Amino acid sequence: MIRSVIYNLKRQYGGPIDIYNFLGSTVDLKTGVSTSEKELSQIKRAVILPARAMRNFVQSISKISADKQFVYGGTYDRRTRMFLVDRLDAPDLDLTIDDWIVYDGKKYEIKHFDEFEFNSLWVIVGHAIVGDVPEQIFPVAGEDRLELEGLAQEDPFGDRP
Amino acid sequence: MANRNWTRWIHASVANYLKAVCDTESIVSLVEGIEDRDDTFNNAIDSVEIRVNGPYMSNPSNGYYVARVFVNLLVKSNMGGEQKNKYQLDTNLGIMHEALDQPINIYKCGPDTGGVDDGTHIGCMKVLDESKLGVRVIHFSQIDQTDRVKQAMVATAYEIELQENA
Repeated sequence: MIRSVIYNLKRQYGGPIDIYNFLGSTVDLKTGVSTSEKELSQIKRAVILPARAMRNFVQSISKISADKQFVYGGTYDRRTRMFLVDRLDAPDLDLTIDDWIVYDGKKYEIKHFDEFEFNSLWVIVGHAIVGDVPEQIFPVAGEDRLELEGLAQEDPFGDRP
Repeated sequence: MANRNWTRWIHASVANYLKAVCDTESIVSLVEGIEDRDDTFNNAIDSVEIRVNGPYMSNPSNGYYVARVFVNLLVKSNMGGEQKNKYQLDTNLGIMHEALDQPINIYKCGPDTGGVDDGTHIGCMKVLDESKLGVRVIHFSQIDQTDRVKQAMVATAYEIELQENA
């Protein structure tokens, strides 16, 4: 049942997404330069549901105590979107909350995800911050095609012109 | 009696000064309550919001006023990936710290509908250091558990002496 629903959703709302596994990072504390390790899994057809765009405002206790006259401001825009990934499309992928998705040039940090039983499905909710640079990996594939061409240098049988 | 234009002159002069600093340093900025949030601001990876509170007036003697003005800059920085230097927020905070840690000239700024906003210099705000805090830089760090956005604040208080006929 679930399998046929996933199949239908992939046909109707399917599109390619990239899932990045975060493997770790180091920061040079003297220079502020960081290096990070990540691994790319390309999903050719994930279910991509509509995005909700909203302006977010976080009013923390530290912000209030820093300046009690602080009323409003410090907002930022984000898009929340749900992705459904058929686990058959990424059998080796081990998803964690530190990973992220890149879709349509936007980086979606994983807010939370649900893992369906029997290796059937991931339901992932991600946040994209407007202005964030996704820093993508673009796999480059090279392909050589050997043109088959017949060229007789010598006729072993001696019966051809 | 307090001058009805002081509030506008102070707000406009501070906003104009800090906006110029941000423009010179190529930092996207917004004067809160005055400017609209446009795509340039909303899409900025690093930005500054300029807020001005006050003046809080006292009248120690006839015709002589002391105004206290609180300036509060909210500095935002998306954390980014490898391409972004991890100290970018501190770099911007340092720029704004330097800008606030000096006297700010107050001019008669405004639409000049009443014929009073001629741009004349009326005084100079200096950092109020009575609490020994001076210019304060306060880090809020990442403000949401998912969204990789950092915020910090640079805040200070100023004092300016004003004459009733200024």
